Amino acid sequence: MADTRTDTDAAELGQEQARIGDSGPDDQSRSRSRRRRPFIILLAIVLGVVIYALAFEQTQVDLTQITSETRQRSLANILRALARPDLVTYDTQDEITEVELAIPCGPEVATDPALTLTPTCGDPGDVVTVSGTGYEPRETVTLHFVPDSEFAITLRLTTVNTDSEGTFSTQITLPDRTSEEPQGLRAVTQEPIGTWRNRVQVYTDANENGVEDDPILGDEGTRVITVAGAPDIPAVALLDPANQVIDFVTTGEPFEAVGGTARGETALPLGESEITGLHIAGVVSVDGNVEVTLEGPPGTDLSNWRVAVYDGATGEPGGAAVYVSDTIQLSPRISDTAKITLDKILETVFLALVATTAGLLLAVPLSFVAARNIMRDISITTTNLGLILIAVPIGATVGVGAARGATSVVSLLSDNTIGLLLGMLVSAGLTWWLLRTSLPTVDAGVPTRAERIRRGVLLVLAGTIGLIGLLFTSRFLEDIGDRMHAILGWFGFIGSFFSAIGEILDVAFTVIAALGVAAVASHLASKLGYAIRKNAPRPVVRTLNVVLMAVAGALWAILVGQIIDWFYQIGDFRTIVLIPAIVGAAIGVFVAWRGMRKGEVEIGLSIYYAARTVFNTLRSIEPLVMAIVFVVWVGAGPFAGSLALALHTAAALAKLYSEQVESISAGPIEAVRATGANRLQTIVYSVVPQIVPPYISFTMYRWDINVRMSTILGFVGGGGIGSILQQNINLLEYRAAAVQMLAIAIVVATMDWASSRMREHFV
Amino acid sequence: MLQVKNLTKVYDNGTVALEDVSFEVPDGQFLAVIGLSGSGKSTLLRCINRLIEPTEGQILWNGEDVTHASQEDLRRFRRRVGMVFQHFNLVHRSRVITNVLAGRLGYTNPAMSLVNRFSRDDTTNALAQLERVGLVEKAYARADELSGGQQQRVGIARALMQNPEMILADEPVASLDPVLAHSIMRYLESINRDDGVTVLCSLHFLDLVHKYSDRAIALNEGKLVFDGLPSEIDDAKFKEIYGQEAERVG
Repeated sequence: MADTRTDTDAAELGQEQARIGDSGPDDQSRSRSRRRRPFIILLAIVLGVVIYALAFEQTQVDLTQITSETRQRSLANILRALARPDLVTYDTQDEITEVELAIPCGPEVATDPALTLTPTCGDPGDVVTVSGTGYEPRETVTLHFVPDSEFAITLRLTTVNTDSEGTFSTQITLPDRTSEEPQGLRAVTQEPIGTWRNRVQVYTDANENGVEDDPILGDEGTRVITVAGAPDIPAVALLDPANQVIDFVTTGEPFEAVGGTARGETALPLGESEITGLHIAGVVSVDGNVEVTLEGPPGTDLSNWRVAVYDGATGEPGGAAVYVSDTIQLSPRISDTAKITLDKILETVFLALVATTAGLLLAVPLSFVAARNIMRDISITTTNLGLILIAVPIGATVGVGAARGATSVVSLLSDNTIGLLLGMLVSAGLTWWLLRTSLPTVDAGVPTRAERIRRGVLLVLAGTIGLIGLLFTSRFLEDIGDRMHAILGWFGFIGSFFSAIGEILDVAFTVIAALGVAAVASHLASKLGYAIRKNAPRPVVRTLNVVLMAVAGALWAILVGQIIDWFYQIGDFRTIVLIPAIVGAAIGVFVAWRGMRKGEVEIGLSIYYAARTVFNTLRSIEPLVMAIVFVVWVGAGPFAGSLALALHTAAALAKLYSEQVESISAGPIEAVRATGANRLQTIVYSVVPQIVPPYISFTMYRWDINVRMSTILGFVGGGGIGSILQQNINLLEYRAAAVQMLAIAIVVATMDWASSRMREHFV
Repeated sequence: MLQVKNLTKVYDNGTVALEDVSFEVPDGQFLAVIGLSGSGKSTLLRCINRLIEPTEGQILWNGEDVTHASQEDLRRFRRRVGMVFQHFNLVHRSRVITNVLAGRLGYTNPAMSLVNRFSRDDTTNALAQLERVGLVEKAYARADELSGGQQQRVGIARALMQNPEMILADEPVASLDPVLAHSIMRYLESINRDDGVTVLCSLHFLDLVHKYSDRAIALNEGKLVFDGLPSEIDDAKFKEIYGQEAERVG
């Protein structure tokens, strides 16, 4: 959308302003600089050598580390682990090869070509060579000594890895166990069960009864489980795989559990609960055990369900929770690491989304403040500046007070959903109606004084009612959110979302009220200022300007003094009130004196520079560092990370956006201004249409950056995938870490691709 | 009636763009402003509606002081003065009708225009103005899909939306070929003749000045060097306006 033509109007104006300011070249200085050149080059080389020498020293460049064998081996281990991410879990079974061994020599031993001993006998402490063939390449083989014993015990000797041909050879020292019979040497490898094409069900004896139970409830619809431990009055809790208490019954009086997995739940007398699915149908004490009968629809999967026994007399747990049934899992299957990683990578992407959105909402209005071409022309008369600077803090204070009052009134309705909803709807309707009556679509002529006052009053009223409506809305959202959270179960997070939005509005309400009242106050102040300048003689206005600016300067300096006091806890009246007041008044007088001749202050540029400074400062602090501060503030977790990222995003986007605003063509702005549009209209009609595509593009770009950034915020406790990545690296679980790295790579690459495609689409 | 009294504009860098320029424009006149590039024509036109703040001097519109008007009075003045630009200055990404409706912003409540709301009358009027410049079928096209001549016609429709009493035209035909130039000038002529709108138009070509204007003023380095009928510009006057080396081409 580059358009060179539209800039020519401005260029032509520039020609009118152009000045000849090019003085002729100075021959003498040129020849002098030519003579100096070799020295300068030499100096630059020496300086370069010194700087890089220092840099090598500081970064501890040491190539011997790279070539050292142990380091290379560690690197190879890590890289190999990374190449085999822990995505799939196989259950394993032992594959055993055994060969006979005689200690001391004497008995005849059988030999096996797959596993050979040289020699096949020896005295304790002798060294024999074990070699094996026919294994998988690079397999881990554990060697055990199997003594001649009536117990099935083995003595673990060593582990070896097979070579690329599937053979190994190692030396073992014979243990001090002699026997007249041949003893054994056992080589064990772990073979994975099943393949992806042919997955195998693997039983786990979860309830430890030594029998393979079918985890699927049979046609009879009941299952009896025996739990060790027999309280006088047994009570049994039934827990689903997510550890929720589904049913809790007692053979005695109802009671509340005080500990264990059913803490706070009330156990009902047997048969009184109304669970339709799997439930406890009977509890009987037999021989120091409790037999629990479960009943449910045939076909119910009992995998990972548990029962826990409580003592009905004390409410304390009476034993460990046991699994109701064995579990069957498929092998191979997606590993738990992969599942956690998926969960965390989603958290990461959403963290980035929340941060980008919050940053965007802050950055869009701020970007106009930080755009030179918008702010350049804004100047304000000194009288108005003084009056507004005095009016704003007063207005803000009043606003905060009013907000507190309104909050306490609305809080009376806090639990009344219908009342809140009504309040919300009524205030919304009233606001709309007041706005429509106070703001005519077309402002034709000069409105009369009475008309202006009527409109002003109605507008203020509309604003007030609108704000109260906002408060109603926030409370309503919080209320309805909590209710939804309780009802929706799986989709409870939607309720939490409404609650959170309500809370945000609640916080925003005070800020908006303060800003709103401050805005009204400053509007009235500027009206007053205009009236003063119109009616009072010039010297009076000038004197008044100085006085007003002095008061305004002092007021603001005292406010700054309060902030400084908060940081350093000085608490000394002279330092935090008196001195700032004098300095502020002096600055005010200086500003008034500077703008004396024109009677105007170029406030726009001051705001521009202030905004730029703040953005640049915020941008220079890495989100990782900000996250540390937020972790301290709101606790470790993704919320801290999103706050840190949002703050950084706001500053970064505001800068990028404002540069876009600065680069738009000036022609349309001029044209819209010429129609009589005010500043707001000019921005909406000539600036906004020009900046929408680059804004979208930069937002996408920033989201992309934020996703990348959020993957490492976890390193400092900022949530996202970084926390488990760091954990796995610290635990040397490189195969698990590899899964997280893979996930990061996939997500970042996808975001990168998607954002560049979308940017192409919008620009 | 527009009165310009002792108008001086000195830019912040010290360039004197206008120096003590005074003239009057009676209602309904077609006034051509001529002069070299950089002689101050654009600055003069922009000082009249205070797109550029004059340094000294006064602009009076029907006896009211524009130079010291408050923001609200300035808004009411500007909305009766249409402006047409050399480079059309349309918002390219907006639709044609939105560009035309922008001419109505001075009459529209700012709060309402925030949500892109114009009255039904305004929309009807916008279509009527587009009809007048022969572009009604392009009303919902994007402005940058239009050719240069069409864009300038949209610019004129935008100025007409203001229901103007005066139009300031800053070299409206300088970026167009001669055929299109005449078509655009005829629109301005018709607005001047039929609607009685005062037109101040800066122009490069003398034949256009002769053909369309009632009167001409000339600027040279910010000073008013000529004020009279177009036919009075003889060779001597021409050299005075455009410099000694200049030669007449048109």
